Amino acid sequence: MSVVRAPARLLRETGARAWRTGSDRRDRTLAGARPGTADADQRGVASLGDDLTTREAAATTVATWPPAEIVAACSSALRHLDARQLESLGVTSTLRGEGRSVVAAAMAAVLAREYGRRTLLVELDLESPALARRTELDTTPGVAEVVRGEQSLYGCIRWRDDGLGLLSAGDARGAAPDLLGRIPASGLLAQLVGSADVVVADLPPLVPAASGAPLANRCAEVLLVVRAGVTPLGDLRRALEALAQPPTVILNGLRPALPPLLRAVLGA
Amino acid sequence: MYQRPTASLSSDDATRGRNVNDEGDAVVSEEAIVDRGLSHTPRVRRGYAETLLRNKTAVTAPLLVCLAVSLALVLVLTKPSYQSTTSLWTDAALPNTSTIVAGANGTSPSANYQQVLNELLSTDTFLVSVAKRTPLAPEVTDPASPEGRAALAGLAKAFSATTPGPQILAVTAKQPTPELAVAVARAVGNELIAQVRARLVQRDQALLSLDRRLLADDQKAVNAAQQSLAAYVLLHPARVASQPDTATNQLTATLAAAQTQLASAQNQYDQDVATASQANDASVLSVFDAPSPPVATGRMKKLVFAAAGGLLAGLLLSTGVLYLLSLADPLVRSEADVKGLLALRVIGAVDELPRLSDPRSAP
Repeated sequence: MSVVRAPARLLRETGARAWRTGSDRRDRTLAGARPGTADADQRGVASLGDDLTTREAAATTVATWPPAEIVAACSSALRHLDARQLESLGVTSTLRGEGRSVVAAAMAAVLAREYGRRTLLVELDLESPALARRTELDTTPGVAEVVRGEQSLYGCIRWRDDGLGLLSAGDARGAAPDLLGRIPASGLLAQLVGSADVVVADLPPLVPAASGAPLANRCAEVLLVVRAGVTPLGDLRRALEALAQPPTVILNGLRPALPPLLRAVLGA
Repeated sequence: MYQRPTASLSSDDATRGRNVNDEGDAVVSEEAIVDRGLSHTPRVRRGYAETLLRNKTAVTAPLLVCLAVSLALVLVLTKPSYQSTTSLWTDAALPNTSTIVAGANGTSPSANYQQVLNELLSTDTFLVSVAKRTPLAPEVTDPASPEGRAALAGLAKAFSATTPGPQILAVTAKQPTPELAVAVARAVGNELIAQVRARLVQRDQALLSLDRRLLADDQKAVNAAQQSLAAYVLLHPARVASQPDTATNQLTATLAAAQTQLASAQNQYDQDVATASQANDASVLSVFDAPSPPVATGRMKKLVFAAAGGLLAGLLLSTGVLYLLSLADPLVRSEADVKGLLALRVIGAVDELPRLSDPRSAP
């Protein structure tokens, strides 16, 4: 009987590692820099990293998130994708709250740990950022600051020793739709792809946000999280119409709107 | 090519097919995961409840609209009505003993007059007489006209008579205005008394006329008997003086009988005259309570019925809306939905992802 190794050991080995930026990963960053990377960015990384290392090293310990079960599910799911050749994976959903960010984080963790790929997890849901907060990282600086030109891209990425980096959403200052609209033309996506082996983008949801689909269409692979019992079929169809290619789906379990008592009464 | 989803995880190791290997790592049996599959049995009731909670406004709106419309229709289409009640005192007519003392053996006086009132209310004459005592008089100027007929029909339905006891007859009039309700209640009470008294007076007059005719006849009989006896005495004075014969005895008996009959008739006449003088006796039939202050009535009952009807209709409509919504905007509930309806590839599933935000808070 074949078994799938759950990533518990991986988590145990790597979970306690700190997210780091700056000099701790400077060599890696510089060595891994793709052609076209600006020297100014590299200098920015170095200088910013010096400031961030001490501050974040103690505060960004991630030991239990994403949950092991989710990581295991994503590990199995990734075997159906060409994970070793994958360059960018956009994780989105129809509505908010369907588990998009958790799946994105788990996918990034699996790509980094199981496949050994330098993986950059980018939080592009600027309207409702959750990843940085959930991983106890500072929410800023991030994508918003980069798009506004206030920070360099490489100065905002927190890298871990296991090859997993996080670029948080940053502070959109109430202008998330405008910033998201500027991303495709800003060259940020190309820079992101160039900064890691694979980019996992936590995209905005497709239906509420008009900017979700354009960003998703720029990803090599789109993973759609569908929450069973929650996602309306009509909304899902509208979401699919906005995508240039059919996405693959991860089906989230039932998360009913009914309170537990009513569920019990209805025998659900 | 679509492949069957292979990941489905939960903390419940025993049921999810997960084990722990020698190194302490959690492992997941692929077979167990595959066997478990992803499809969910359709949960119809739960689905409706989900749809209801997600479309509260759309589902509850028909209920509220139907309720509002039904109440509005009642308020608009039904005019307010007012009722006033007058009470009449009734008792057994003389020379009978009052039912206050003797009790009502059999039908009580109030029930008798209730029956009389109901009979009178079925007649145009009585209704016209009632109407002429009220502001409705112009409407019954021509009772044969359609307007007059409609007014009389409406008036006939406006009354109800009850008997709280053997002596009291309560007559209630319902009219669209407070003033009219009082006027009609007063009018029907007075008209009933007037009609009853008028009929009784007519009856008494007819009876006295009959008594007089009988009295006159009896008087003639007496006179005739007296004349016969007198004539016989003139022709046969010796027989009558010495020893009355059979003929004399017969004539004398005839005269005595005629005189007795006359006395009886006279006595009956005297009694009927005495009874006739009681026709207007207020102790038999009179107004006891003047018409009560008008009370608005009728609408609340209609409103309650309308509300109940509106709620029922709204409930049916809401159920229909809920059903249509569940058809029009179903939820994705299973892998089969994703595969069959959307032709998408499902590469994995999880039971319950932790939520970083609430989907219902999303726009």
